[in-house]
Amino acid sequence: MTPSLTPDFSILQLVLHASLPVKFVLALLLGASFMSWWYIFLKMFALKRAIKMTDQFERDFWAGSDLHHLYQKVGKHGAGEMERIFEAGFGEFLKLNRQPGVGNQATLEGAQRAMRAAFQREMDALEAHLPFLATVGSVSPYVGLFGTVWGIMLAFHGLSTVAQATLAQVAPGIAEALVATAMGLFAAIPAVVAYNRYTHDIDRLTTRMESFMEEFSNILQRQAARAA
Amino acid sequence: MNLAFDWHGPEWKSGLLAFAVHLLFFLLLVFGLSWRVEDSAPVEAQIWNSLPTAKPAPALPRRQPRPVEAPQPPPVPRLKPVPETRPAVPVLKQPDIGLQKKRQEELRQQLLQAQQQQARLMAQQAAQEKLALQKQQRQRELKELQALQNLQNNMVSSSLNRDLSAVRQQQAAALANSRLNSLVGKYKQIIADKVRGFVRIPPDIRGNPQAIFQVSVLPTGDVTAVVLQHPSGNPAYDQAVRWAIQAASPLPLPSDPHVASQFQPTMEFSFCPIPQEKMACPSP
Repeated sequence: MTPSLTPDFSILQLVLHASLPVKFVLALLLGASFMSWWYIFLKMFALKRAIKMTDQFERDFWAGSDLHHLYQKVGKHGAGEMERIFEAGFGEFLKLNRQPGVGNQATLEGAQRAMRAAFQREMDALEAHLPFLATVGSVSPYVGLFGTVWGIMLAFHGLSTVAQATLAQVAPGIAEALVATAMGLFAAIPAVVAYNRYTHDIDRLTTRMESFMEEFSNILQRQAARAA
Repeated sequence: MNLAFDWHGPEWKSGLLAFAVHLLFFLLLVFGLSWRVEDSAPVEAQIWNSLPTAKPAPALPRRQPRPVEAPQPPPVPRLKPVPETRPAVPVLKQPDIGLQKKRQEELRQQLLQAQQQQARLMAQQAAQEKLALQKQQRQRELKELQALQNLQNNMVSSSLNRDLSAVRQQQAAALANSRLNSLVGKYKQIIADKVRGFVRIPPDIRGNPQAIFQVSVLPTGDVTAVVLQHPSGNPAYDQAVRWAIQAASPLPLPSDPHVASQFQPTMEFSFCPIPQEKMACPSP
């Protein structure tokens, strides 16, 4: 504001002149922001791939091709989530079918259990790191606020020792303190947006997989009845 | 847990992308926010200094050779009534004239014979000195004239001022008095309005009887004593007004101590049931 201040009053100088707690908060937030962006991109690629593979497998499955043929094809190229559920369910079904003395109902239940297990494993992998995004989204504004409050406290404490208080004496301290809030918001906003977006995507995938499991159970039941 | 996923490829990719995002953010912060960079106002003052010396300097030496042949004093005094530029220009001119003279000498030595030019320059200097002397004389005369005029003006104005100040003092005193009176009247009205809110006027009142009290007031406005000075003729009414004055304590007093001194320590308080602007109070 006043010309007496150094003209190169840049953000780097602000950060370098900040007090130790503010620096610590800034470093913490930078780390959190980096990790959250990392997970954001990681999840973005994983979910894109999952949705693409699920689309492809559903198309193949409902195209009316032979189940045995599909089972052979699985895993030739990188398998999708739904493919692996199908693989687990159909593999268990075939294994139980081959064993003598296992009834139709027992075979079907075994296949369903195998599919449920595979489904839960896939879901766990898809939902990995999402809680981190949620935590960063909700906590980092408070951490940034803490840094800001601390910085402003120091700025006003320094002001109390001088006889004549001017804006130029507190302004740099407050500016450097506000960098912490900016950093917290920078970390939080993308994390919250990504968390909401990915949660929604995973919910949709879950619904699709659950309905596939039900439908596939019906198909297996029909096959078992025909074989018997 | 992650055995179902091939994290190896995307991990590096997303790490690089995250790094790129942060790099962008910091570039935005460092270069996007130019904090308090402007403030180049003082530089303009230097430009102002250099401009006036550059322009008049080349104009002067060209004009001055002419007065050598035919010195014309009359046009110079006509230029004089601009006294503000006078002190600034000669001080700045002198070094530049010297420089230009040097340049002119060099040029003319190369082009023409040097001696003629030197002679001319001498003549120029002499003419300049003459001009300067004339200017000084004129300025002195002008200053004397101005001083005389100022003296005359001062004499006239001081005599006028004396008369005026007396009149003004009287006017100010009258104004202050009238202001004081109007303020006192205003506050009397305010006090009466406050008391009016507390009065329970007996029903058997006829006309607009006026009761006058001597009210003792503290500087805070608190009423310490109420003494009936002129009874209205109706003791019940007098008593009602007395109670109302006591109930209205503290009375609203003006904050200006000069005005408030009119109400302290005792004030005369007259009250009539109907406000005075609607109906005149008959004096008891």
